[in-house]
Amino acid sequence: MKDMRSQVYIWERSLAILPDTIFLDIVRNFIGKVPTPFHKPLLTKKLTTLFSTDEFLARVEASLSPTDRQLLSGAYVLGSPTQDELCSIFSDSISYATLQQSVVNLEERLLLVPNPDTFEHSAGLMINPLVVDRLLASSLSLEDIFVPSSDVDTPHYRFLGGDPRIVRALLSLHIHTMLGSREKSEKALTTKHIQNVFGQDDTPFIERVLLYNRMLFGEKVLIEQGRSTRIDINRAQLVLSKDPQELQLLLFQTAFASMQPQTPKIAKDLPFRAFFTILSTLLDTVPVHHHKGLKTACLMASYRSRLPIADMEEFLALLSTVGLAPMQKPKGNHTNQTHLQPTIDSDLTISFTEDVPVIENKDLLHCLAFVRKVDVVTSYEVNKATIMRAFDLGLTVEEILEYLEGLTQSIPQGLQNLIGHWKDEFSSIVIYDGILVKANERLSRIIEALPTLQPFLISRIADGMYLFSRSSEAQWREILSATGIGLLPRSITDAAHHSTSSIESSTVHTDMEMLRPIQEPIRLLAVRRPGKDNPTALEFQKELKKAILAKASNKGEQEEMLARLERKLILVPSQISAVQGRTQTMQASGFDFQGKINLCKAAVNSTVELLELHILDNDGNSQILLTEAKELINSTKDASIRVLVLPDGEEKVLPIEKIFKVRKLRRSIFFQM
Amino acid sequence: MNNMDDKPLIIQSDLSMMLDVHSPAAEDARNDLIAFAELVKSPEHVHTYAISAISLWNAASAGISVEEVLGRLEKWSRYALPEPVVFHIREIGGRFGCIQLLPYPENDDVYLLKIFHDRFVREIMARKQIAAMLTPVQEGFLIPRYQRGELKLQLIKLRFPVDDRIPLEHGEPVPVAFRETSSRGVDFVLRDYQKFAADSVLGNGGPGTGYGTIVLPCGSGKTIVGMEILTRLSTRTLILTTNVAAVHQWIAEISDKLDIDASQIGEYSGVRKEIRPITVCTYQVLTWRPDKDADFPHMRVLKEGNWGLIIYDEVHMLPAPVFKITAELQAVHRVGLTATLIREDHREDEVFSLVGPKRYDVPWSELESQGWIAEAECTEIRVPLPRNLEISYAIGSKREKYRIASENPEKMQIVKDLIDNHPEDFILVIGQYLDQLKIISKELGAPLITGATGNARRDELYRLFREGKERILVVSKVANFAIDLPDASVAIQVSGTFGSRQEEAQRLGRILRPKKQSSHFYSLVTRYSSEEEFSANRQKFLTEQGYNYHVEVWE
Repeated sequence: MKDMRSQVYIWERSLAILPDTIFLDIVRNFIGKVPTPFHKPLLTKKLTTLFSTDEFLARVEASLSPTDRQLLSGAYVLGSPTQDELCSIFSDSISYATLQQSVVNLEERLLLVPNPDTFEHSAGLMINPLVVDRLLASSLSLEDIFVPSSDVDTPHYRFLGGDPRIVRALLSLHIHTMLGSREKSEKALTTKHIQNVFGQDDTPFIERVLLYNRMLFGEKVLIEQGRSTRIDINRAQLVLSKDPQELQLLLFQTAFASMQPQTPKIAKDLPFRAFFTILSTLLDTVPVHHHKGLKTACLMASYRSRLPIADMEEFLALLSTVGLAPMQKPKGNHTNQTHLQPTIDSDLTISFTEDVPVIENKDLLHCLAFVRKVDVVTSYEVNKATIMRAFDLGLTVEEILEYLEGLTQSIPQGLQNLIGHWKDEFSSIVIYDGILVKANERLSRIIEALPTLQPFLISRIADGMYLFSRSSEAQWREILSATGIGLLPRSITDAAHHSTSSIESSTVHTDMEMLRPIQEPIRLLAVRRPGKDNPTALEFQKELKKAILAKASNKGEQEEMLARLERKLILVPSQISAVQGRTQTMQASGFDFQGKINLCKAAVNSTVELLELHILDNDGNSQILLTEAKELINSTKDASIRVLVLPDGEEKVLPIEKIFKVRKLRRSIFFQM
Repeated sequence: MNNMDDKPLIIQSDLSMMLDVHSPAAEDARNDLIAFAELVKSPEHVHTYAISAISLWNAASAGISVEEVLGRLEKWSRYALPEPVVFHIREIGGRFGCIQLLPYPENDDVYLLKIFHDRFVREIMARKQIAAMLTPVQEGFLIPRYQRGELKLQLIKLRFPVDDRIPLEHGEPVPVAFRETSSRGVDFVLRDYQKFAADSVLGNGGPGTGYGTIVLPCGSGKTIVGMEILTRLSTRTLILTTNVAAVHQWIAEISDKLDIDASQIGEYSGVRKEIRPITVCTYQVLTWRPDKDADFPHMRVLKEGNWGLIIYDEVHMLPAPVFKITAELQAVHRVGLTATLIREDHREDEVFSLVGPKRYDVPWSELESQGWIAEAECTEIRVPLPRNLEISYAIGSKREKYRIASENPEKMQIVKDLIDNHPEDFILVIGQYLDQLKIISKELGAPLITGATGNARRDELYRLFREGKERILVVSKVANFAIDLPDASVAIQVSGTFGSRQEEAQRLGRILRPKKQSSHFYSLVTRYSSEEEFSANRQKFLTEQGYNYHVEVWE
């Protein structure tokens, strides 16, 4: 919530950007006749005063219909939606034509006003800053958007959360069984043997495991090198340290990138993170039980985050793969039960529930043990091969023992000396990756005598034969050159072959604070708070109608004012005055063929008007289309009109004689399209 | 750290279960589980049990319903039961009872098979092998009596359990009971677990009981359990065991502890062919035949003895031809006894189907902690290969490598040193390769028992060992099973059959008879050789039972 001064400031900016004609039209409705020339700031002030009056605001609240509340609640979550966005999130339950006109009505009632920050580029709307707090306190709620189930046990959609146990298991499988390249590992992960590890063989779960695998490649934890795969242990630790929500997000990004491979970059951008945050906040805040509700939530998250969704059904399937599913509240009295802390048995099986803790900043289980089962209890096995592999990865006996002791508190007697024996065996042969340098006697003397070269010298193999480090070739070549050797033979190293082992910073920002502002409105809207004891709309409308009938000087004025009353444009007696110009909706129907043609003609290529066409479909059912008129074909008896049907923009050519009613409607009070 | 309210059981979605043995209720939970779940491993912290289709059906046949199973799981489970578990238990367990095998009063030579679902009938009759055994009648299908086991086996392979309602035959009565004091003058009391084991097989005597397999650690008195069942049924009994020495041990035990005249006990072996109310026989003699195309002439002992009970000692050794004939003996009470139900041919399921399901299994560590089997310290000693063998080893085939490592001559000195370290103990030196054993025997001046040693000589040497007149025996794999040497307290394994887990466990078993001091099991392994890998595999069963191997390097 913002303070009153800043709200007035935003409100004034919002009105200031309106063209004078539109501003005048609006002002007339609220404060009656306006003499010209007019003083815009003064008029704005008058409006501000009106919208700050308690009686007026109470009537604003009372006049809200369920659709109004739905749209305003939606607008509050979306922040700055366009008219089209606002309509489309509810178009599954209410006709688009009704929604569009409801939005226009909220615009003319100044409950939705242009957002001055987005006015130029996206025609965004926002709730009138002068009423937003009041509405929020009593009238707006997510329950208007997502109808809650009366049964609290009904499963509702939630993200499972990323599962570090699966990540660790995959790392262990890659390290100890060499799942191989991305392609090979994808095949291997669908085999029965591997599925037994995870205890599940249902397709969505397997797809999720494959997604985790892809994520590890995508995050460069696993790096393909020809047919094999190298593991970046530091990056692995980074991924494992993420909380379940962050992990879920990573998985989501991976899935999204694979769904839209042509735009992989978008997956790394803030909109993506915003989308995920909004969706998960929505689902955490209000129980969404149905597919329809989930779709609405996705659309809202999409519009709010500016992350486009090309195909909603495909996208929902992707969410399901990622781990979004209807879940029931856990039942029973199992919540107080202690988790099984990691223990290591004499058969060298490590068992635990949950995931393993980090021991002195080290997370090494997958490096030194092979995953046997990931289930309620997860188990890993230590054996000679796994420890050898750990040595291969550069772990020392001390590190391994320290880690295991920290993890399990006590390790079996035999394991300590077994690891020692395995280390002896592992060390019985050492394979160096180096470059053999053969030098003549003179140069040999230099090599052996030069202290700066010694750190790069792995071993003196024989007289005049030296093994130098490959990774520091550039440095020792420079030192050798500096001794005056002159032209050294060309390097045999393919520099590209050796990637550096430095850890790049994660491409994913973990700063959830950035997204707090967009989570706020959702949480504020969680439930409707009881409102003040306001008058009912019916009571004051009756009184206003009486006053209109008494005040109108002619039938035209009376009709015009009653129409405004009907559209909730008149809320207090001070608004009862005739305004210049027609404000009623123009329509033609039945045998008024020419009237229909005239309305169509007037709307063709209009930037401010739409046509509502009532037609009969092939089955004889009445159908209402909201359209943009594009072309009137002929103006004779067989005239047709070419239109784009909203919201999808489908082009249709309709014979006028098939249209039994035409209404010319305002597209928007504030915007021209 | 466990909380006092913690439930001990964690149920996995693949129907395996983890029992946290440090939970105060672990013991009670275990007792509830064993009726429908199998113990897979029991190391010191977390024991693993598994529910299988067969274990559920066996429980059902013993009267434990699916809802009872779910109730017990719910009672002990630390977390909510995973949905797939409930679904699978209902789905699989619910199959029991859909097919019943019943007596057919009109003809004693056949049984009546009733199948309650048309879909099952269609599925079953689509299998030619099964359809050939069945004759349709109005009430169902008739099958010949002798095909009862085969039919059950075939149906279980199709995941159709048969609710066998045919009561077992009681055989000719043989009055027999335990003596209060054995003939050697020792007071005799049945231990609780031995009683429970016998109860678990015999149940209430109704359909679905009277057959089963009992898994108990070596040295814990499986023979006694067999005898308890024998006394409760008091019927003509055939005991099948692995070798003549074991036959003699059974006869000696029966004579010692049961109140039955020696004339009632027979030996049916290569040497003697006695069939008496209680007959002890070797698998070997049953499966002997003059040539490979001939029939097994002694198999008639099984069929024609009018037995009320057959005890399959060391049931994991049951040879294939005996499997076949066991399928025809489904009307007889059957008990399988073993310490290590691990078959390298993976036919454990057939043992369960034909002899009977695993009815009782107890963690070795539990009996050790109660003092019913000896505490054993296991040590693997790694021995370097002499330089002169390094090249032979390096260029040898896999099998040659293993043999070179196994017969490593450096092991000789270690054997001597170990014997010197245990001057008071009775010691078995156990190995695989005869040449190696002969050298050891000669160097130690200790008698050698191999397959070539005559039965009389074997018995004589075992007797001398039991009587304390021989302190060291060098033995080949003939002594792996069924040999009771109560005072042996040290075993030195110089070589073994590759990675055989059950051989390792059985060899340890030779020194597990309870005694005042701890037993010691040494396994000599050539360092940096394939023997290390095989050794790790051999130790698996025991490490899964909670045994810790201490590894030492002999420098």
